[in-house]
Amino acid sequence: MKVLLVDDSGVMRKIIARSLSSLWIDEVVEAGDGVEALKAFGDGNGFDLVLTDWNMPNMNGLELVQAIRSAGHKVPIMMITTETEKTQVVKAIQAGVNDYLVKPFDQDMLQMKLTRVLPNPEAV
Amino acid sequence: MALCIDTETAVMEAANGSLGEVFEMMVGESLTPFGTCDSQNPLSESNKGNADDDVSVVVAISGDLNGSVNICLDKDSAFRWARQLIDHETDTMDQTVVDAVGELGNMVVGGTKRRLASYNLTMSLPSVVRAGVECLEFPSHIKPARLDYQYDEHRLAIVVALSKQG
Repeated sequence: MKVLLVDDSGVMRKIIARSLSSLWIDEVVEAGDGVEALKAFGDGNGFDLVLTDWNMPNMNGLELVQAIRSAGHKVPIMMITTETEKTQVVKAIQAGVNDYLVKPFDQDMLQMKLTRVLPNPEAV
Repeated sequence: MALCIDTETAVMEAANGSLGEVFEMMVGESLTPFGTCDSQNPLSESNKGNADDDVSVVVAISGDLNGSVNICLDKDSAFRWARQLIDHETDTMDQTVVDAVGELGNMVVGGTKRRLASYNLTMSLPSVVRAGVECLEFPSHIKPARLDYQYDEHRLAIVVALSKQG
């Protein structure tokens, strides 16, 4: 299982990567903004999940989601953000986000969301 | 325009609730405010700390309310936060500690904004400064309000310095 983790905060990437390490994830690729993420994502590149922040320099999380979806990729995408305004959440869902996690979160909450959005490892 | 009592109370409750939530969720710590300072002059000499190696994270707010939310930690609190958050062991104020403190500001102010959903607010990216609460200065039309917390044997303060649009 391969995950693309996108956040401009190295600290937040570390927190999330720590949670991922306790799940059935083989590989985590980190990116600091949407541009880096798109480069890493390429034509899908075997990713099973994209976790992305919203507010980032260069290309934000919403633009990243739109770019991935407009290229026809169906990979699950979860947004992890402090952005909770209703209109913004609706925008994210309309863009193709599968799930949403609000910062701050505890490890249990993150793992529950990941378990829900990740493909079942037994089915892969 | 200075905040009316109701607005100031709502903002301080939001900031207090958000700070508590962040510590509880991210590092499993319960923070309890141990007091407010001189309400007439929140940053008066008697209320200023004396640590010379503190750190503060400043997040600007704009919209219906304008100003900043500032979280000030002594250096040991900053090290403790970085250790609990990402297992970063250090006794120097390195970039990882600065980033961890910046993330604290981002989450606390994000949570404060969420609790004040009836106000149209925008927050900036956090800036971290190597200075404590004693170094914070605000324009004369802003009356800052402050809450102090005990964090293990260390100290932490949140200073809200906002004025109302119009």
